[in-house]
Amino acid sequence: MKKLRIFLACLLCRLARWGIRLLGRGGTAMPGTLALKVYPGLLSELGKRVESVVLTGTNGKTTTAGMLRRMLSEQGIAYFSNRSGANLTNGIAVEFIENADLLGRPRAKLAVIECDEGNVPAVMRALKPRALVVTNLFRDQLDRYGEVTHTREYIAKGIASSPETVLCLNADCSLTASLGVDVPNPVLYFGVDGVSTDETPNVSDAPRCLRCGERYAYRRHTFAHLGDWYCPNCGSRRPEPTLRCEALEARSGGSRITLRSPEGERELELGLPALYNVYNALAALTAARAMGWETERCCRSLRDFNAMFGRMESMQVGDTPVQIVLVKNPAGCDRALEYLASLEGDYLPIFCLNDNAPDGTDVSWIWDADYEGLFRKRQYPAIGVWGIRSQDMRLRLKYAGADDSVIRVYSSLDELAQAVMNAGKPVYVLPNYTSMLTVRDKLSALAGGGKFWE
Amino acid sequence: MELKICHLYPDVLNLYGDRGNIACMRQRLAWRGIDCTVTELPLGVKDELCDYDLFFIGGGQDFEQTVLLSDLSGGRRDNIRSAAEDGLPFLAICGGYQLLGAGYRTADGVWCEYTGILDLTTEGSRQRMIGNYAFRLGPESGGGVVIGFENHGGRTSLGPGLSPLGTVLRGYGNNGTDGTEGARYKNVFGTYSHGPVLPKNPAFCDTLLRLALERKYGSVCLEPLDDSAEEAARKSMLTRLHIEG
Repeated sequence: MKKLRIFLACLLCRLARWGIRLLGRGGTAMPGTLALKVYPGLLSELGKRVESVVLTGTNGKTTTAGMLRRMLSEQGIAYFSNRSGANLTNGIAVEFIENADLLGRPRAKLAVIECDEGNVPAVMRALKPRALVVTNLFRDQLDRYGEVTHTREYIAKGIASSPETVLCLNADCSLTASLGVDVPNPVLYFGVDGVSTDETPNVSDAPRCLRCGERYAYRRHTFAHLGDWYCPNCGSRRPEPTLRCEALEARSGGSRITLRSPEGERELELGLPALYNVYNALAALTAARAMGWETERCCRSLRDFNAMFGRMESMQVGDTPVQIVLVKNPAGCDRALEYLASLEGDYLPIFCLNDNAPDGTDVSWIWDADYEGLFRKRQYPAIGVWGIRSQDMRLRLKYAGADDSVIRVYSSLDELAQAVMNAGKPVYVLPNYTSMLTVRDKLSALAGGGKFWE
Repeated sequence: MELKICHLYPDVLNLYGDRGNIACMRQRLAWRGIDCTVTELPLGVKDELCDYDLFFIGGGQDFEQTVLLSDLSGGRRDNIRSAAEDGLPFLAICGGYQLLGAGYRTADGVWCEYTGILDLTTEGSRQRMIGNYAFRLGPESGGGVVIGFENHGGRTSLGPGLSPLGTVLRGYGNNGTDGTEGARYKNVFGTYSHGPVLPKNPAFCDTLLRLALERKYGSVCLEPLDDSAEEAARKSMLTRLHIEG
């Protein structure tokens, strides 16, 4: 009976995907939902036969998962993974179905799974993964999960259902690190030691001690609420990282990291710029350690790792060089805005804002991001905005210091594409999630690239 | 002219872009050549409140609101109450709005005593009220339509003597049942509206600024501004909520 249900669920899912592809779309949600309706225990059945590493957290899970995939590819190890941002339970189920034959027997025995925070309880319960990586916890999609401490609760609930999973946690994020306290699971922490910025910590996402409510203090601070935190009252503090970045040297388009592990110190080249990618690299290496992969080769894989789609992606559209930088919450957005503000020369910035379910229907977070930073030193001759909430974006920019008369609200995707092609200067697009999918499809078609699910 | 704005508990009540309200007030004053200082009073700071002309309290997380209670009982509660009774303007959002009430009964039945400045109580529920919404201000608050985003588990009931800030046109408001939204007592404005509320409701913002300026300088004429961007943003949401402007 169970075998029959597995067979039926897998068959239906494949038929549905095939049908959707025939229509030229890339959706995975519906076929997965269908399969789980037919057999709710499907993911757990298929998961039993596969060793998984699950990645969750607010920022960096896609980049970190990309690093793990690269490590596996370069070592010739067969794996499967949910790409294209299908990180809800139904999308994850589809990946397991696609990896199996109709009797549920897996082809690759290893899975790299990105998981939306709210789906961690269901996914952990079903998969019982070998390792769980939590990159960090910031405010994101608050309307879906209520509050950031609720998001933490979802992950804690997932951990409770899988006591043997090795936890790979960001020591520098007090919310994330707290997940490793009072649990039977083995825990590995990662953190950044060699960097300290002068700016005062913007700790608004996690200002107070989770145990006693006292305000956290910092011995060192990297960005947002990340750093070497401690509570002056109850003594709870950042756990000792197993893997840490001891020193950091910025290189053009990358970083040179001095990495400290229990085995000693080593130098590491990372082919991605910016401090948040150092955290992503540490998260990936910690996961690799938990999975028992060979360190030397994993480190080498990071050297020429390139950005993930839409997260920081360059393309040439006609004569216009375009860079797309995904922004979906204040912390990530601030990093992108700093990057934009640091650029020399003239360029056209385009901000895209949708409020579809995957984006979070509450767009108020744009008021927590520092768009003011763009206008402190310069005014732009032209600015573009697009998306369902483009008028909210326009208003945000106006109050941040933009000259409202230069803001053009594109009424269609074609208008945006025209503006990009006729820009006569580089274009930087900062979209949130679903607007990124649409804009990227349009621009990469003009640039001759493939669709995102291919 | 100069307006001194006090942002109460920015360290714990700071969710959902509510600080955009400060940016909005600051800019709308600056565009009219009126000076503005914003002072943040976090937890534990004991400064008096009498130097300020307008108070802002944002929304926060449940966990952080319990942290607030001990600070309030250390004298801050009486401070806030006397400022409110003196007719100083307050804008309090969501968690900050609830905090001005008598207290909060959690979904598990635990009672937390709040400030009791407004005659209202809030009960926690497991079903959150979330979404874009709209309400019409009472005539004493200008009568216009306010659009915003609500996201609260608490259901607030007003005492018999307390006026609501407005009546719900779309969405839930105070409790999803009696059609009221927010509260207005003297110059205290309490609302569930995030968004943040002021940028897309410039008339509401100007009402607050005018009250604060008039209290300080007597009769004041606020110069009209070019609100075409604000109007466009309003229009797109009003259309979506099927409300005639």
